[in-house]
Amino acid sequence: MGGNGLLGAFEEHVLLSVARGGGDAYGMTVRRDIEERTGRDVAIGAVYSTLDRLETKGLVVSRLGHGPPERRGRARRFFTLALAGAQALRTARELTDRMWEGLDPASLPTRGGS
Amino acid sequence: MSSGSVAPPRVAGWLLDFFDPEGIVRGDLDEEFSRFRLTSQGRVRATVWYWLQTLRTLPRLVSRRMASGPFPLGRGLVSDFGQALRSLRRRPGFASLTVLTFALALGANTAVFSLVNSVLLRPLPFANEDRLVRIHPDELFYIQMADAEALADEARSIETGLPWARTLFTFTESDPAEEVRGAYVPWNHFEALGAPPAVGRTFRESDGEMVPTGAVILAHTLWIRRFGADRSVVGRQVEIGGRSRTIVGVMGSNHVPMESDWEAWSPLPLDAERMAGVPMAMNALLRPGVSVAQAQADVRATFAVRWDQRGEATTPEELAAIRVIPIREHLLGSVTRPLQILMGAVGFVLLLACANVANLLMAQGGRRAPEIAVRASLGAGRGRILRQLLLESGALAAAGAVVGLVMSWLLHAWGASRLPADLPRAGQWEIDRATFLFTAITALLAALLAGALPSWRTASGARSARTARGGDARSAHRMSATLVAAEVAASVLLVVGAGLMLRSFTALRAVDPGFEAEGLVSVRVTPPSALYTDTDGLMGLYDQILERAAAVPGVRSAGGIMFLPMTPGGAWSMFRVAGEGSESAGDESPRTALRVVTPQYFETMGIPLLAGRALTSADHHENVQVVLINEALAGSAFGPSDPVGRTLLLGRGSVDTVQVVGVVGDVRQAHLREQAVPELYRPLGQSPWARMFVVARTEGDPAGGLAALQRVILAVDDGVVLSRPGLVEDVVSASLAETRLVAQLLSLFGIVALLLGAIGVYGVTANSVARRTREIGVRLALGAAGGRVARQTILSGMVPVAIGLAAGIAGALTLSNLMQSLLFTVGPRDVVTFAAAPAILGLVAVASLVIPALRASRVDPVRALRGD
Repeated sequence: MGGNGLLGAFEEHVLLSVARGGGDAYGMTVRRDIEERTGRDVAIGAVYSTLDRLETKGLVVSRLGHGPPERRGRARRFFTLALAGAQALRTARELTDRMWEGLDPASLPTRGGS
Repeated sequence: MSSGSVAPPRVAGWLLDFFDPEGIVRGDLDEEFSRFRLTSQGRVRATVWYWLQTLRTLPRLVSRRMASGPFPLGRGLVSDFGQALRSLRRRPGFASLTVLTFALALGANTAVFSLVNSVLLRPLPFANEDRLVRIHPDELFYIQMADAEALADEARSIETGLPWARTLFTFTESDPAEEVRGAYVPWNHFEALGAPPAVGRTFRESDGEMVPTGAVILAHTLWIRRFGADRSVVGRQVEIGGRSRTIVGVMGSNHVPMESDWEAWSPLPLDAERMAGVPMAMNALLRPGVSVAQAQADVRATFAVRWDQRGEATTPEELAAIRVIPIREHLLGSVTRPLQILMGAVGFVLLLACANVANLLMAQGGRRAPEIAVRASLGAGRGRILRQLLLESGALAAAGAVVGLVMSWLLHAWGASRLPADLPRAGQWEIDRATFLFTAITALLAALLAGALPSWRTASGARSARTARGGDARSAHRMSATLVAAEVAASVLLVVGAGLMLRSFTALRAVDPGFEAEGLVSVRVTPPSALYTDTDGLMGLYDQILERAAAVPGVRSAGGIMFLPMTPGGAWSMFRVAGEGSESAGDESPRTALRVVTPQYFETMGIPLLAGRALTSADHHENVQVVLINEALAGSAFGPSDPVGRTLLLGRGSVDTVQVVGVVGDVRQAHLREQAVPELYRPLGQSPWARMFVVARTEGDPAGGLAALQRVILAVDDGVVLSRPGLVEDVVSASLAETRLVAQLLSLFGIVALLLGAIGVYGVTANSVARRTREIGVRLALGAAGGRVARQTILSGMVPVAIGLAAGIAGALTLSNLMQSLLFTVGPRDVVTFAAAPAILGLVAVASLVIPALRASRVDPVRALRGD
């Protein structure tokens, strides 16, 4: 989100979902993917805001395409991961891994203050 | 309503379309919605999900749309809109109260507008609407076929005469047999209307040659109900009333029949002689360019000539009774006024809501002065600040409109089944695109109306606030007080309207219809026409039915009548009292309504016998012909003298001689609103009539009694057709439907008005107390008693209320005349209503002043003086 070049958590989720789609990702698949994996109820508008922002930053590219009849002629907007996006994901993963070094998720306390 | 159960919510779809014309988001949601449906999630869950997605997504779409829309309001708009949303989010109490206020008003406006639009505003589905008229030949509206044909030929203003006769179509093929009301119409009826069928063809001239007529066109409702909307029924032979007819077409769902209850049409026979003696009504298509006034003069002149040729003189009254009425006025005239009243009422609710929001915004403005001042000092110009404030009220109104749409949808769901059955196009009530547009525009206007003044003040205050914090609070208070007075005045109007309707409704419900409806059940019996051709046959049938019905456990007694009260249908006869006036009854003879009954009818209905004797089974065709008359006929024909034993001559030319044997109580046959008319009852045994309503008085569960009654009748002869089974109470209740609906809606709006008014009164005084904390503190410190301060607070709070009450009463006295036609027994200046409405409002106002008054009396002088 911020100007430091780092991805926000939701941006990262969206970007990962686009990557998983391999060029066939669009708003609905991204929304469902995140909802199914994280259990969070996600608004389609939030997905598109993020995708717009990611496109402005050059992390994804979009194109318009056709959809099934239940869309009644409304176009689908497909998203593909751009090179910069792939790089951003790799960086994010690296940073996370580095931060986890020496820590075992199982060893963290399971209850107590936040 | 469309039957497509997989369609996503329409209104939400329009909202998305409106703010996202590309449709990418909507496409995604539609796609996912249909997947939802496939994975067996409930329709309700899927719909709720769709709405939540829409509502959460809208703010983003709106701000994007505004930046790129047809009227980009300048740079920085998106960020200003975001700023406005954030600012509102910080004040959830204020924001939700405002949204709720807008939602109540916009929801009411949307619901009523959608009804008005569906019923009144949309053009009638006739290409020739402006040339179509209804012709009333006399006060009873009936005409003979020969006269109708002559009129169409001789009146130059008429291009096509469209006479028609009511009829019943008994669909006997396949169970259950069903009776459908409809009409015989000229073969070119639909062509003249400019209303082609949706499926199949219209009638041809050759359809009228077949005797008996063989073609039938179905209404859309009947097509769906009985034929499952199957297109292949066109061309199919069906059995109607024991004869085979061909379905040639189906009218569209938007067709409006000439009478609201028609569901089928057959062509009139080309041979007019066959319709001799059948009472007809008449519509007509005027020649292009002929005005209704010209046509009326022409029709009157034509009738005068025709009667003159017959040697019958026409009185000026008879000529004046001949009327030509534009089709729109004929079909929709009676519902125009109630709908206008409702639309006016919701208009006042909207004004009230705007005044209320303006007050809330004004109070906020005072509190936000420091924030605004900071912005101004950071370089924001007055225009920019004004724009942001207006965006805030716009966002509030938009949110209110969305919630209001949901509310109107609920109101639609609640009201759709409660519309009066005789309301034309009631089944076509829908919240459509036009409604959506109306709501959007109304919301925009409301935002401007409510937001303009407070925003201007707040933005202007920005400069002065830099020097003198607080600004000119006194003038703000004056403005708020003015708004409150206006709110109270509007509330008075609405409460008076609701009061008048409630009083009318109560009066109407208290009307004694002349019989005891409770526990009565009825069903109409149509015997197979081939089997019961003579009096003895019919008597035998109904004797058996009634005897067996009375023996059913839970049924106390059963009787029969040709037309049940408050159901359509009627018969009239001319009459003359034997030994009075001229010897042969002419056209000037008085008329009386006439009904054929079985002897048990009066006891079953609970209609009292006031004089003479009741009818008995001995009153059959071998004995002297007898009648019972009602009080109204006794009064009008015999005055104070005793009618029992007197003789009446019935019919044109006095063909029937009957003896009056008794007098029974009056019954409101047509409608609870309408006084009983002179009426006589003839026994079935002396005046055979095939199709009768059988009524039974039940004890205990009426529904069970009704089912048992139907079983018993079919056990007597399973060839009879039963139609319109029901509780007589429901029939009477339908007579109340219009008054009840208008009363309920106006009460709802009245309550909303009271609520909004109370919030307004509370708000302005609470603000004034907050502003004057110091002053009050000084007074308390100088020894003023808390009770006195509270009293004064209430009194000063009541000043704008009193002004509003006076203005409201004056306005209500002027406007209530418009409601005249909706009222029953109460006048438009009903003293009780005009006393109660301000009293209720006054009490509500005092109640809403209690909290600020208590707060004022409990001001802690020390803290008040130290503060600031």
